[in-house]
Amino acid sequence: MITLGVDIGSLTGKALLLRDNEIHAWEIMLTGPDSVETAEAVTKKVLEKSGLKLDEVDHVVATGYGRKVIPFAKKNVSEISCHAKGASWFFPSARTILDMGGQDCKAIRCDGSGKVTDFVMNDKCAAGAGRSMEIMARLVDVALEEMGDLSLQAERSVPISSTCVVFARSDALGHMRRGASKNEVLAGACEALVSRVRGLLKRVGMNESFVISGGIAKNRGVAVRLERELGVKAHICYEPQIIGALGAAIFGRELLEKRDKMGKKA
Amino acid sequence: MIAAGLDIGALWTKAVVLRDGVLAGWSMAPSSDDGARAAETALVEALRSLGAAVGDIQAAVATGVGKNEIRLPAKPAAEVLCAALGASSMFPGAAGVIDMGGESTRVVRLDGGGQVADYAVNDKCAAGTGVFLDAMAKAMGVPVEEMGPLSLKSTKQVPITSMCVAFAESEVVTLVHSRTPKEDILMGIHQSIASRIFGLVSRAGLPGNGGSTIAVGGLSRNVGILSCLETLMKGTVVVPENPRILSALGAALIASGKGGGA
Repeated sequence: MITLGVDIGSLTGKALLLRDNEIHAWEIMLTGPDSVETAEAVTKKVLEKSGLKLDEVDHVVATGYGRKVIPFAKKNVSEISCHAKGASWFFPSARTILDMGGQDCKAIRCDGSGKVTDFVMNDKCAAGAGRSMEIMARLVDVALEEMGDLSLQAERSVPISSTCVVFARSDALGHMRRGASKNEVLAGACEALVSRVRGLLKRVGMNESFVISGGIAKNRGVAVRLERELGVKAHICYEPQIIGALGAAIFGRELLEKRDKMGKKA
Repeated sequence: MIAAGLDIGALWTKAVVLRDGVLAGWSMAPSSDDGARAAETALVEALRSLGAAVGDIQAAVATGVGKNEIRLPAKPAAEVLCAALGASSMFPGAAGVIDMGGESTRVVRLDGGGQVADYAVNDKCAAGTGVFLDAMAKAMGVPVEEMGPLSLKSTKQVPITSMCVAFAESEVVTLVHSRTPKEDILMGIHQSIASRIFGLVSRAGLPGNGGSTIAVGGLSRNVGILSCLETLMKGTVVVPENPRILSALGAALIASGKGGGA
């Protein structure tokens, strides 16, 4: 049985093929202005990689903020459910999940089967989302992927007191004019994000079995500081950006299995 | 007696000079990264028409976000107070002031005598401020001055659903890509800004039609925002001839001793 999960986020589109219960292939690419085109392109790439054709795929489930417009998806599931499902596949003990992408941030509680029991979300303000990291990385002119490690090389951090990322950017500029280094600014930006995220995690309830998913999990500057602040270890899989697409593919498989069982009964 | 008022805003620094309590000169300079230097530049320029120099100033008061950064001997005064004084000197009996600045929005409700009755300030979030408008202008490739008039040609509602500047930026870029008419997007942007400002208007308890409401600050030059705001308020707002120097005027009035003590 082969199922496809497609996760269209604000910055990247992800597609993952699940063969029975194993990850067969995945692909990540930057999102264009059109969600449908992005979904088609990333799906094409993952199919090419696996040597499969779309009609050999038994079920397609879409998730992410562009999930409702994808024409070849047979179903769409919220990214909250998909992240809980995907995180539990990697880490069966997972109970608290932080998923942060470009445009929003979710703190999720789930049970042993990966079913969501509670969640809180920020999708109103960029200060608590990956976008703030994109803006700060661009400000000091470093690649988004490098900013976390660079921030950990700083011996001190500049205080960023403004909540709004537009104002925080001006704060950071001021610090740089007064002689702060790039790394110190990045350290301040990571700390500011951690303090925002901590609030969300507190509201949903923190459990020791903690997983970070989404693009932010690749930022060690945020992950390490979050571990330090919370006093727990963060479980991060080898590719945290595919967890949503993985969850979607698992939903597809479960749906087919349920259908098969009902078919046999009848 | 020569008295000076300075308003060191996030984007612009404004200077007003009074001679014996009467407006004698004013000027503006970009705040850029040095509010102190901008204050000196603006002040020298404002004094030029009087043929006076900075040394001739007998009293000075500063307001705005950079009021504590300046090197001139000026006493700091609260922004809300300066806006109130400036408004009631220009328009005696005004009901309130809506000050729509670069990084903050202030709404002041006045009692009949020109004193502050209540106020509301937005300073945590850039939504609904000049920075928001600037970012949208850039995202759309439309000069800020043209946004207002162009938006009035809108025929279709295109709401901007993101409140955050950073998110609204990508939303607008997506709309531009999908060939949504520019005037409709612009109207959506102005509605978003106006609804944020209206939230503060409600919090300050400013009535829509109970006396004249003065709108000042950079955004008051945008007819699109004013029109959306008037619709929400179910009333009219009055924009003075020089809407950007109102707070500096208030500061100068305090300096000249006309502020009823500060």
